Amino acid sequence: MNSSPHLKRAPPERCGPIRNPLAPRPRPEPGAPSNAASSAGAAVMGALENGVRTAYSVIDEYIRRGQEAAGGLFNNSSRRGTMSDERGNPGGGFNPWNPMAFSTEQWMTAMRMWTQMWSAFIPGAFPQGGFSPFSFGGMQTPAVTVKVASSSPVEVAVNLYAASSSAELMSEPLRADGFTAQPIEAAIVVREPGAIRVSLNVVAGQPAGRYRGLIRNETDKSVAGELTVVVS
Amino acid sequence: MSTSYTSPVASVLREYGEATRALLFQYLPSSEPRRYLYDLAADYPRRGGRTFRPSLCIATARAFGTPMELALRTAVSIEMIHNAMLIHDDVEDESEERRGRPTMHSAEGVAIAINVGDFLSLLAMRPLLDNRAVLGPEMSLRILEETERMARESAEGQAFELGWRRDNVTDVGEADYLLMVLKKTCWLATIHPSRMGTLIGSRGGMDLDRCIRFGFFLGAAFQIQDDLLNLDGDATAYGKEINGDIREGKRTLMLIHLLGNASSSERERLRAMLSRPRELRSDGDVSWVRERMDAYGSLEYARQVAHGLAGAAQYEFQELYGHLPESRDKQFLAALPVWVIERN
Repeated sequence: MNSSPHLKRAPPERCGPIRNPLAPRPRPEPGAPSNAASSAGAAVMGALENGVRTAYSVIDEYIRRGQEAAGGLFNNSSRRGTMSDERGNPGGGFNPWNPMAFSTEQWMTAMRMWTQMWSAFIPGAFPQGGFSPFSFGGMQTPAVTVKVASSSPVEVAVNLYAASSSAELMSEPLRADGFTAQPIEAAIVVREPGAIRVSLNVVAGQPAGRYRGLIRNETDKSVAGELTVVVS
Repeated sequence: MSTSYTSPVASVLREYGEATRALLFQYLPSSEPRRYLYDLAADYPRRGGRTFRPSLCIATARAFGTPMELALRTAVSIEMIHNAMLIHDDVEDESEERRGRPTMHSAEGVAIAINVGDFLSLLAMRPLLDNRAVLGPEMSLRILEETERMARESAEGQAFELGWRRDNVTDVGEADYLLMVLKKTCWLATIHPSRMGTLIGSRGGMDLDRCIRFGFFLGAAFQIQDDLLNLDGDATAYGKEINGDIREGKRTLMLIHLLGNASSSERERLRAMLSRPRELRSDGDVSWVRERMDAYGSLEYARQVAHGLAGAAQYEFQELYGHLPESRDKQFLAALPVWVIERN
């Protein structure tokens, strides 16, 4: 017989408020007396874990089917098990290592010309500077020279949209994919209509990678092209 | 429940929501027909709402260091499509109330409401075309392609839900429900805004499929919490009729749990009720279903699943955006998994 006059209660599951509802709860020690709170806690954890497990199986299956469908379209051999940037990007932005890149780029160029032409006929549509729908053969791309100061090998690509005016262009700082490195500053000088010089200074120790920035018209800030630098 | 730091969610939603609405209203014509179309197109956006979807798009882009200007038109398009779908959803669900006021079809008739929804969804293409001025034609075209995909996924998800209801499908499991929510809710609410913010912010440098897991877990937690608020929320704050989902026969996680745990006689009674047209489901039917859900712990079950999914969203957030520099926008994204399950 218990000689103590006092009731003995089971220790509380917690002694403070739950600040982070997503933090894992401590499980009862093996051999500890079970109580209703522990049973309820186990049921809660069961619902939570089962729910997450089911959700992961649903999304993994969904992504797998999407990859299979994309693989059938693009014959991409870089299938991935886990998410990674090494995966090709079928249907995504221009990727020179994408086997569809050439025909995709042709299609994109054709679509670009189509949208520029279409917008010239629509009242109130955004005006595409310098483009005339009556001069299909008259689109002229400015001549571009590039001056680079760099201690590492670099590859520079200047993509000026065909309808861009060559008056007063500027380049945004070129940022690395993922924004993990110091941006590269670029200057654009328009020497005369139809002739542009791009100057870049790649500092010593600039991390290898691809850096990109938009080229804009200084006057109205509309996008005139894109500048890409690959540092080896 | 409270977070251990000052959450930026409310201030970010307010700032980006105001910017989105301001530009959205500029796209609405002030010409005729106003009474039957253009004034009505402004109705749902004017009723408020958290502008969660466009804010997610803008904040994601800004977390990469991109100016808001580059993501704003895409955000406006997302908000237009969202409101268009709300108008149509209310017709399909025969809902009577939206954000504390009569639904559009209740006030104006089904035909006019459908036309307004059609117009808003097509108008959503205009800001995407205007993206050419700030993003260039290639990225603008990419965003258009992504928007088409989102619309298709959303329609597929809605088709599941409507089909289950029409054919009184009652053997829907948890995996079926999550797949439906992935398509119907997550693509528009969380996956697409994350993908667009990432596309714009990284200038196409990141694989957008990496956003799908984060968007799915965040959106699924969001939807389950929405369904819980329909049963358990504050009527004034919630803005729709409480227990409306039960009357509608909506296949929620709570209903699926009840169907899986009820006795055979209770299941038969529930199936019989679901097979009746909505107008023949009585207040007594609704009360009985709600009482059985309480008895079997269906709401608590769904609440725990939502918590688990929010935790998974936190994990996927870290995998996806953990490398980005600290900023208010990154803090906003990090706070969302807890916010979606705490909101009322």
